[in-house]
Amino acid sequence: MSSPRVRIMVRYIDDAAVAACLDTKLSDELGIQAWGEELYSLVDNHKGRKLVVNFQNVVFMSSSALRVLITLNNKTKAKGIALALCGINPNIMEAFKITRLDTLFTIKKTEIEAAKALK
Amino acid sequence: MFEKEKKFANWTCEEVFPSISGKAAPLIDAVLKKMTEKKWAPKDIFAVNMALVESIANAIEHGNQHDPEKHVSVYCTISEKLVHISVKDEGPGFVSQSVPDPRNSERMTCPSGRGVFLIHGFMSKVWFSDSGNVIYMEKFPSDKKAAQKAPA
Repeated sequence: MSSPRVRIMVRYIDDAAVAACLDTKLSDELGIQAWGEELYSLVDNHKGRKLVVNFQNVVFMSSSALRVLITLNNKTKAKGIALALCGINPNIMEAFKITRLDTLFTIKKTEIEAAKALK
Repeated sequence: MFEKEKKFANWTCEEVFPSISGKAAPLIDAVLKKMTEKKWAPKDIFAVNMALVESIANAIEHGNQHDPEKHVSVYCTISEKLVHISVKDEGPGFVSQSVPDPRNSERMTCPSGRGVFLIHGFMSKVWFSDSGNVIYMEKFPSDKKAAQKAPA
């Protein structure tokens, strides 16, 4: 039996966990659900107070993926974890602007900038 | 048909599929491939990708309530100057103005309800049938110079 596909890769920059998305397209409902479960599990098990999600590999993201990010934001807030996003390409950034989610999230260009922005 | 006429002829597709997530992926890939062949800008291809994904997801989820016995119909025409898409479901229809604005500060942390706003934001023109179960969307090239070079 093959093991389930991994959708995020986690590493640490100082005390911040950095979750890099491995999928290039976040549009398939089941894939987004699996990706969300990995992120939620990371929050549940994270001992630190900072989390960065890196979208450097991602070229497309639907509203279902935005829904996961809003739920992630709510979960991190409830647990006292500061959240930042980075590596978002200009087309996807437009989706954040249209929905004004660019005002809800801390968004930086690079992982280092995102990790530094979190207090 | 002469080669030049073939190059600039409208490409049309029509497909009907059951309300199962992922069934529309080949159709979406074909539309995006055809837009690339017709030299649409990457940002416009992204916009149409978004509109197709969101409108089909809404048709499956809200229109047909994930009932696999009900179908979603997609019609698409692509030229160098215009992409026209219609997506129809078998639901009772809805009034688009009744969707709460997710951009209001009190709804900002509510996870759902952004699909229709993304469609409006990315497409040039969006409208619904009177019955409310068909969405029509059009995209014009964002690069006006490229559009002027293409024949009518």
